[in-house]
Amino acid sequence: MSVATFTAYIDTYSEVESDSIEDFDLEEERELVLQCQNGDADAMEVLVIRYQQWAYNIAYGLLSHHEDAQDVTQDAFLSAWQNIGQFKFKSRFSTWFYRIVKNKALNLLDQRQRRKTDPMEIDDTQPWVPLDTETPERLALYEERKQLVHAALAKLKENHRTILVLRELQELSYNEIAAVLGCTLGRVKSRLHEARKALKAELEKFDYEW
Amino acid sequence: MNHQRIQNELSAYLDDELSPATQEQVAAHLRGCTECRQLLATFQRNRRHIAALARPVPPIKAAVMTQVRAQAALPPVTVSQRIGILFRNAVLSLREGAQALKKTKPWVFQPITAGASAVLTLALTVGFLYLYPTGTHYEEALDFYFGLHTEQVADSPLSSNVGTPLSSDMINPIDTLDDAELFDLYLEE
Repeated sequence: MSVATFTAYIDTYSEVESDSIEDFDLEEERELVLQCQNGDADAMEVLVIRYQQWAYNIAYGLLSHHEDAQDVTQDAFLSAWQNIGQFKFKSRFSTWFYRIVKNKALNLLDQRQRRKTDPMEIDDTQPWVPLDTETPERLALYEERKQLVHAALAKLKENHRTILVLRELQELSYNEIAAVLGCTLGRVKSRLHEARKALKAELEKFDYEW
Repeated sequence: MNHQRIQNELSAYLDDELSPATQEQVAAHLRGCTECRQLLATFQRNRRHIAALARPVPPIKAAVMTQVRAQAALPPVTVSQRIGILFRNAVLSLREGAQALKKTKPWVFQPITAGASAVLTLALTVGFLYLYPTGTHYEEALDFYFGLHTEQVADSPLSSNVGTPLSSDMINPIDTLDDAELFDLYLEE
């Protein structure tokens, strides 16, 4: 990692708030969206800073490809900006925005599958930011494990993969997942259970000490 | 609840999405069921594996905001506002078209017409100044034609008869008869 890239990472990290999305002030979020609807780019910048981490991780969880996830995240933010006038405050902005991210990521996956290319090419060109306490052996173990988890996720049905990413990676509540996926709470509950069992089955196929 | 139903609730139990009563039932079952405890532990472990996939977001803010600010001049609008803008733009286009038509000069004021008119006017002026028959030649010609005309008028039998009574031999007797007399003459012949 070059110094410039590392500096950019540090800058980005310093902007990302560590609170969960549910901790965001609803009134403040509403005010930001209203400002965006009036064409205020500064308000949009605040939303980008707030949601870029979560948006990227949803895209990355679904696509398992760094550059694709980056493109989808950027594209999703631009779509949100261009269509912010259609947001009617019937849900949280995050829910509306996650739906955009999810749809764009799945559309890209669909395009990839139609081209018969490998949709789940594991991308490790982007170096993981190591913790000082980790040894190289442990980091190598993490990388191997991550690749296997990516591969297992890739084998799941699309709706199972999506709900696992939203819940496990994004830690959305059942209510938020229901809003993003447009289904009932009961369906979220049963589908998540099926998805977890499916992931367990896929991971157990690997000869690996989990 | 039986074992199978409890197992189906394990996922929601892990997410703390069950009612307190059901949560307690599952917890009680877990204390005595190794299989369900193992399944729950696997779910918890796999959750950590997926969570570990999270990675720091790449620097996308600058790229996004560059495009957002470029588009900021055109603020996002609702569908109804878009229709309104389309209508307004159509009206403005029509108005501009009408104004452009008004600004367009009639053909008589077009530069080419004005230029041609100027050239023609100049030609006529030059022609009038340099080609118009003036001077002695012109006066002699006029004198000639006026003299000729006077002679022609003097020799004209029409003009010479003016004011002079006609002699009796110049009158045709038939011209003096009325219709009845002409009719009698006709019968006699």
